[in-house]
Amino acid sequence: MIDITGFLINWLEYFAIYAILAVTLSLESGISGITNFGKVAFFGLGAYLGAIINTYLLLAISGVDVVKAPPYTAEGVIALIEISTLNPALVLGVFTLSILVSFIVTGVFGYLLTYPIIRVGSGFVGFTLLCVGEVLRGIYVNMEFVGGTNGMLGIPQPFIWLGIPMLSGLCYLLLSVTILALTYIVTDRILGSPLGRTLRSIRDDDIAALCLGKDVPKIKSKIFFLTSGFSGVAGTLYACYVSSVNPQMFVTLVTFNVWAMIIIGGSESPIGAIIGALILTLIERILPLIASLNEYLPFTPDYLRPVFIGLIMTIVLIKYPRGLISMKPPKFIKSAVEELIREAS
Amino acid sequence: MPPIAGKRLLALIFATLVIGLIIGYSTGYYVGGLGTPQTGGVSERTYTLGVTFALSGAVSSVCVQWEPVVRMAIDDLNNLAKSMGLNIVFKPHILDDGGTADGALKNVQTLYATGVRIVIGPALSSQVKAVKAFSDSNKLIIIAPCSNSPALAIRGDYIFRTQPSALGESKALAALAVQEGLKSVVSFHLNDEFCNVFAQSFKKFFEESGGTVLYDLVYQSGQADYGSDVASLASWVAKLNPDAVFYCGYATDGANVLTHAADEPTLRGVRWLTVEGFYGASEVLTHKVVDFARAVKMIGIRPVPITNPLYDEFVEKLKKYGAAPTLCSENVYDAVMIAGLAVLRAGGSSDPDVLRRALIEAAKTYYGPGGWGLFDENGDRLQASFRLWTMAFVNGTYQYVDIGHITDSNIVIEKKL
Amino acid sequence: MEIYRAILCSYVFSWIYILSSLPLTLSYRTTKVFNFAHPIFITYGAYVVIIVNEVLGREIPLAVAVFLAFVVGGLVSLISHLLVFKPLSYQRVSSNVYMVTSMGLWFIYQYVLYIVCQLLTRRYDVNFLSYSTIEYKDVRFLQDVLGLNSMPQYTITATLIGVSVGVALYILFNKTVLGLSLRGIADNASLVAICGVPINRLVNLTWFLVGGITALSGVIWVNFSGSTTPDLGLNIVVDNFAAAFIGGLYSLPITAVASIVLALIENMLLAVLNYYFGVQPTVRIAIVFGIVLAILVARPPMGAGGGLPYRFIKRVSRK
Repeated sequence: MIDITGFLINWLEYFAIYAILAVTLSLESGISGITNFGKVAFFGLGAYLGAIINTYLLLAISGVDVVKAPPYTAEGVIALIEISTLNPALVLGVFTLSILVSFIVTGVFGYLLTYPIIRVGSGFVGFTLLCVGEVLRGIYVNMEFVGGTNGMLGIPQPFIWLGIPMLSGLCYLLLSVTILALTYIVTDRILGSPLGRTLRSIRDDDIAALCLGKDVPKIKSKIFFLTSGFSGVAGTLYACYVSSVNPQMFVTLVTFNVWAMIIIGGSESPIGAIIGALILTLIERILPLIASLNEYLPFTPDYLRPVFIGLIMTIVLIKYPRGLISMKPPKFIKSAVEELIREAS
Repeated sequence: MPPIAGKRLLALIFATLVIGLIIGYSTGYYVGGLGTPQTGGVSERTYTLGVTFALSGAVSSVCVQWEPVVRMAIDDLNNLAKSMGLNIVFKPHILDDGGTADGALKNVQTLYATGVRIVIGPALSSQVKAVKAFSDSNKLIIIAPCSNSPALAIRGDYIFRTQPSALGESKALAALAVQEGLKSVVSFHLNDEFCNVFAQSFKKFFEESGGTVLYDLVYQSGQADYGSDVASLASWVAKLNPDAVFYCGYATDGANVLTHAADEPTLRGVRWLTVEGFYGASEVLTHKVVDFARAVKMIGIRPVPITNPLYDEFVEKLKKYGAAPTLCSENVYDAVMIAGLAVLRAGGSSDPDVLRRALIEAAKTYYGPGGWGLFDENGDRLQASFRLWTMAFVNGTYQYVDIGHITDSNIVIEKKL
Repeated sequence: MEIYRAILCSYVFSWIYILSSLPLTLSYRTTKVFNFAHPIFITYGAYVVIIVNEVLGREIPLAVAVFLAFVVGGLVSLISHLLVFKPLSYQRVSSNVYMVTSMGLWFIYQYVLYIVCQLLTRRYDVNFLSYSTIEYKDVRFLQDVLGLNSMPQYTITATLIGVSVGVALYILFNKTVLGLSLRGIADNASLVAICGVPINRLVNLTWFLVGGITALSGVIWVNFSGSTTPDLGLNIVVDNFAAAFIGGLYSLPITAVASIVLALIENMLLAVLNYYFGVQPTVRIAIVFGIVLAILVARPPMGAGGGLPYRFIKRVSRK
């Protein structure tokens, strides 16, 4: 039988993590005009911070000698598996700490980064941030403390002690969705506030905003603190979900995936970003079905998966350059939805 | 008509997608035969084995050669089931993970959701690490054909590996180096778990045998070219004057490195030792590289037992599927066969614990192209004998040729280099 | 230290980066499209040479390789413009939309190439997914005639292609009306249109030239490197963009200099750091992008992509 529930949990987990990145990117790029091609830098930093805290700290508190059994060795992994199933309070406590630390450290990193980065002019900020992501990846590759190129393993999922995969997955999904909701609410509040209007004015013409007395660098720094912090949290969620990290997980392509999400959904609205994340993560999950054409095609059918993704991206953007959020639905669907909403309210 | 509000659109899209998802999967289930086990016809059952390989990306050159191996193994399994009078048909569901950890996890999750309970792959240790938590918590059996990371040698989990541990192979290669009179070596390898493990264990055993690894030069994967790394290697060889270079890399980077090395007079003046990383790769077999291999008396090692007619049969049969053996291809075949035999032994059961036990038992009695299937307590294959190989011009073509073997106590080089 | 190979690599990479980064800058200046699919032209350039070489038998001449790569690269680029970028330009979309659409194009081109390679691999029993080196027979003939046999063939190939393209571009942009019109479009398209220049046709021509010239990097590549894969463009995409960004997406001379500097950092500097300071080549990404970052921050480009750089803020606020 097809496990629809399991499928939905796994897909929505990915969706929630990527949607956090997409919503923050829409606040940075679509709304505030900070072209961030270095999203993966903050995502990766958060993931590594989460990995370090949830392994080293957990082992150290539990009395394991992390020098003899670091978390990137089999001994460390075995110890972590035992601890994570036997000591729920400790696992949850350390996980909560890792979320907080990730938010603060990546947030501060983003805040501090704005000052040198902003010097290069708005057109070049994107690529400069991309370089930051690559530099960080280069650093992870060469840090033995985090397993170097081999990465780290055994990062405990905080609900693994529940013992039932479906239940622990569901709890983790709820947690991720809660953080996504928090990110959305914060973004929405900012958009509705005077700060939101200032941000839009900065996006449309930062020099004009500057001339009108707005402290553009400072405002951008504040926004960048917030969005970087949430991206870091998404990274920690990802690390604990996958239970392993390695430098190859945080390549620039991840950033571009998130960009594709916000542009396809509609970059000027967090809802658009969520729609983009929803669609792209689902397409990635659905398309493996193509592989069942194995017997009929003279080449690997799964090669068609990225071709379809590319086609969808291209066609959607030619048809709806402002994103799907600007889509006008067929009349009958619109009236049906309006009817439903009216009934519900 | 004004655009509809974002929140309503989101609700609409979400509802459409979920309905589409259910319809799509149901269609896929019936059309593609993805479910496992599944009843078809009167009493025939289809059992799908999941496969996730890096069919694109940095190691795709190796992994695309595994696809025909999987088809061959599936055909053999089906013939076996037929000959036993069993009404079970095996089918592969092959997905491309691009060599990424994220891709492997998504594929494994998707395969699991479609009812697959045994997955062959992923290829790289970093990918196996990414799927381990999912595999363990959902009791999904993973048979990794080419992972050798010591960090994954964990007792009682659901990860099995048909690639023998690098320790035995490195020890044998160190013994070979000593027998060949090599006292000092410069190590040059890809910064990847597969090669790092080989380099570290070779250093350990070689130094225990009285040799010295003078310098360990590591190059990073994912680059377009490695010419400057070869230049650095030449500098170290010129400075330290070692007896040999120990090299580990895969097909694509291997072809690049060896093509550049062939132009370096300094590097032509020392012996080269290697493992199976680029064995079988056709892009390496150029006049320049084969000539270089002859000049440096290159010897490689690979974990295939010497007295195994099944391997030679495997190579011959594989030609009919339009492929040649490459790195780990015999392990891929064995992985599929052991998985299939486990399913037969378990009577087509989908119970993960029954399947796991059946897998361990099936492996105990399985002997394939890669040797005994027997797993150790960590689910890793045991192997004690190895073949030695080089590249040469034979019968008018450039080929990989076996030149000797290593067993527990013997190192035999049958052909002169 | 055996520096010879590092020098050779720097030299060849300089040409490869120049031939791919200059067209990127050129296309941005003329069309304001930042094309993420740009490095795919290098891959297609390399693969058209590989495929023709295998299908027609070995030993393709350089002249044929250059012609084929230029035409195929140019056509792919032109088709991308006509089918995708042009319709988008009518809708006056933001640069980010161009960027993401070009990413979609990249996926399509890259995996179509994978499919083609796999089909050809099965047909010709040659591994097209990872291909070794190609030697050009006319270049070997030239080496024999000029007595340059001790030089690696790829240095001559790179020089021939690089210098020829450089001279051709110089003549085009400085000595012909066509070139002056192209420059005019980059500086002020409306004004050029008012003067009666057929802008659409010239933009098409620009795209063709951009794809064609970039594809020539692939012709050098297959002669230089021991391995060509469909991921070739992906592996050098960021270096490509780095050079173009340091040049401010505007200045062709600075882009060329940046290409050379990048090639030197990646090959010479890393070899020197490794030999004299024991720094492993695995630091490559960190070092290269660290330096690019430092250059961008220390000397922010004033080109087409920049607004008012905030390095002036203090001065502005003081006033």
